[in-house]
Amino acid sequence: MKRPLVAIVCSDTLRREGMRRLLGIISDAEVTDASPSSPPDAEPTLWIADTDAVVQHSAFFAPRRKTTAIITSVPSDSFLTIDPSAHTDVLLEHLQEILSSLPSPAAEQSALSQREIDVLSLLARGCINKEIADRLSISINTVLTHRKNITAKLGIKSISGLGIYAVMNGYVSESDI
Amino acid sequence: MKIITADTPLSEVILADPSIIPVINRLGIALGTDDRSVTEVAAAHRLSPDFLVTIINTFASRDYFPATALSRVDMPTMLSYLELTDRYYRHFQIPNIERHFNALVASGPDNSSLTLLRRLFDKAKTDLIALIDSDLKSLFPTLRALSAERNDNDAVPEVDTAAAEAVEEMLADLLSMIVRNISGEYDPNLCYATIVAVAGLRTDLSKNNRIRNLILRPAALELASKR
Repeated sequence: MKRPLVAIVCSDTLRREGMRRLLGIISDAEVTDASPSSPPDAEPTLWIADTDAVVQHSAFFAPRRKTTAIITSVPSDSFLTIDPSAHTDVLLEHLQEILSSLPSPAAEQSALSQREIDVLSLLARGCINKEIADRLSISINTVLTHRKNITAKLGIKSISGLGIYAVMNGYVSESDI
Repeated sequence: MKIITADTPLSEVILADPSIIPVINRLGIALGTDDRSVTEVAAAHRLSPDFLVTIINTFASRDYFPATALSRVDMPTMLSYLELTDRYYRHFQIPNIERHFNALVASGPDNSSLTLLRRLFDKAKTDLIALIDSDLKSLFPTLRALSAERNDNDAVPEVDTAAAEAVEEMLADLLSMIVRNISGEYDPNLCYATIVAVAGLRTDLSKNNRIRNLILRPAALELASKR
């Protein structure tokens, strides 16, 4: 299952690192520092921001209010909030509730498409990107996109690992790799 | 784990994180350390206490990499440590994984997924041995001579980080595939032991690669800039 991505927008190092540690206790989420002016490539499952950041970038956070938690002891009708003065256990429980309540990311389709299997089979046989593009009549950029998706779905990065996976699943024979 | 200091008893460090044992073993430190502090153990093994503290902190903490402290370690000491690490991989950690893998494969004689996973390990092993050979025969002796100014002829060699990272990546893939894709009959206890052995080497390599990337490579570049 894909790990949730949590982006922290907070100028205070202690709060930022404290939040990172608490998230590490209750979740396997990927936690990253971010700012509205340089957001992560993928939309985070949850934004955690200090009040100053939300005020300063209100236009950015307004459409994200369902997925943004403000670090503040003042309750909000619009945004989720995290009370920084709460006891650790209370904070952990509240963070767990927030993470559980968020809309889950689209279920990851882990099965390879036929095109991805074609690319995987050629990779396993030792073809380089250009050869794969030529054989399948697709661009090198499309090959790279397929490779990225294959790695994301299988959790395997190395060519050797992909080759063994292809044999294990009958896409190529052992003598091919 | 909390950051250790020179006064921390080594036994406390080991009990909190037994995965540190391979690191102290390669430095010639055996168990049975009683309540001796890191400083006392270092003195008994003629090691610099600062160096031992730094190396243990490098491995004991998942999130903390003491780059500044490591960069203060002199080149000969760092090279000696990296040589010991390479030799430990070759003579202990790789054979240990092989022993476990052989037993695992034997536990499912008709299970082709086990032999394929073993094949992936063999590829990682071959590449790692080649890297170790290159380190011990060429890279480290050359850097050692250059840092001692005993050699004015050779160019400062490039510290290859891609090959080491590729091995680490293969071991990560191997672990992922054992967990996600293994099938057929096998002994689950032997499988667990194999996973622990492979994960130990992978974690070790990951730290070692950071030392190569962030410490050894810049130090070699600095040597080059002085020539």
